[in-house]
Amino acid sequence: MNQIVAIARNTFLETIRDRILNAILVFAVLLIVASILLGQLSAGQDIKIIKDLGLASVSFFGVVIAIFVGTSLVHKELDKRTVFVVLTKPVNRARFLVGKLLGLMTTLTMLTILMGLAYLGLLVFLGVPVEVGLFQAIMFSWLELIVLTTMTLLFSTFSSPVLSMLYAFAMYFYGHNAQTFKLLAQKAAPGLRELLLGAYYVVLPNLTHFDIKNRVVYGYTAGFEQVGLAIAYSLVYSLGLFCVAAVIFHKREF
Amino acid sequence: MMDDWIVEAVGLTKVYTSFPRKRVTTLDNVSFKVRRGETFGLLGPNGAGKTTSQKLFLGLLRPSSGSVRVLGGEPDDPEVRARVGFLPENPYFYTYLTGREFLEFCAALFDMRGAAKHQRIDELLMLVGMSSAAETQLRRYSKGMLQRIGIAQALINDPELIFLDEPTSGLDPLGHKQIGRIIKTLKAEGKTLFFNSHIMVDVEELCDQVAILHKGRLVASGTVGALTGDGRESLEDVFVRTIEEAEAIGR
Repeated sequence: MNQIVAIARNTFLETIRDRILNAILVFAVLLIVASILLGQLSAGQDIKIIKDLGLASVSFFGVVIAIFVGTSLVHKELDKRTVFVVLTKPVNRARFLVGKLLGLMTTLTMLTILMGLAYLGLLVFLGVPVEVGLFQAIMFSWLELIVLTTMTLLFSTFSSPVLSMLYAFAMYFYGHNAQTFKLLAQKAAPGLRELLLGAYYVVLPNLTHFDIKNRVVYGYTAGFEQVGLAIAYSLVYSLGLFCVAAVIFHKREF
Repeated sequence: MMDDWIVEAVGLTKVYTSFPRKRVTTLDNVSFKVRRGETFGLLGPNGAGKTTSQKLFLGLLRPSSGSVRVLGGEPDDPEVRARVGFLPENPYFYTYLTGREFLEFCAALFDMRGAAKHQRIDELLMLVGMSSAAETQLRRYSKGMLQRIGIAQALINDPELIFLDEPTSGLDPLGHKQIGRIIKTLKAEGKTLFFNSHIMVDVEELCDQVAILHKGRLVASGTVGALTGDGRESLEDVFVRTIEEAEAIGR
């Protein structure tokens, strides 16, 4: 446990001391503020726009940071040969990955809280009512980040940062349109195509479980069952991705 | 009395295969042994297979054929690793950490805690002459300082066997001297040292046994005295002659 904590702490320090991350964070907070102010100026002064743009910014920047930082997580260790120092000590390779993942998740959790506070604080400041649904939407974005971070960690165990980033963004866009594949599978004639489309739907990430942003701006609140499903899907799917990453990393030579 | 072999390589071969069917043999049927307490130098020109050998002894690579035993066990066995230290070539550590933070991180990987951990770190900082730079971030360290903090991390667990990959290459004369002094201290403490180098003066001064690799093959091995005819020839001359002979017969 001491080892995992040490690796996680080291990864956390590495990511928060990274200047690029600070730049993205400042940009994110500025954009959240700008989007809300812009919403105020828009015709009809619709509260929905203010809520919607801010939430989208919180989610979008979380995704960008998870993918940008996550894809270089393992590669950087290889490139700088720091991995030699760690893996020649009595450190189990899976524990190394757990540490890296927990370190980055700690950073992302902190950033989500900061961006969320900036967003909600501004809403309160502007006198916009803050409903439970808004908190839920931010929590769901965080659950999505767990899946994306584990996925980028998996890609980074066998691929270059640029390719990992492409894979991760592709999966992100697929994940938000997963229902389309389900519909296609249902409409396809029985046979190979139906099987393949069905398999895609099951194996690839379904990120629509975490997307309640468009509804909460209309005052929607997710029920207990939906929250439970989102948590369970995030944890189980991430665990599956992590197991594949651990097997690949265990077999890897340096 | 039975020999106490601490590193054993038998028929060690490493072949890299890449697409479509390209095979590159970086080590070819190499066998040698290192005794406890010895300082062993693995020599060879660039690309001879020295780093590949060390990576096989450290479990970072797996042999294509042949076998490796370190401290009587498998190199990737955590119990073996707990007794081994390693300084990589041109080490690039976590640059945003201070020297002390970096050693604390390494100590945590060995599950070291509390007062014993802090005492060990202070001892090592003293040994490598880095106490005054302990609170400075590694990105501000010179190459010699990085090498010295690298030796400190390799010794954090008080290892029986220490692998050093090109420990003196690229250092200025002062840095070179300091590293040499640390290695001599370790030797005097009875540690087994295994180092890769192509700096003959260092090897001649520090090593008991040497092996010369050329294009992945072992072309000579023995005590420094035996190879140099008890000093009649310099190790550098022996090395150059051996490599030229190996080239001439096409090995």
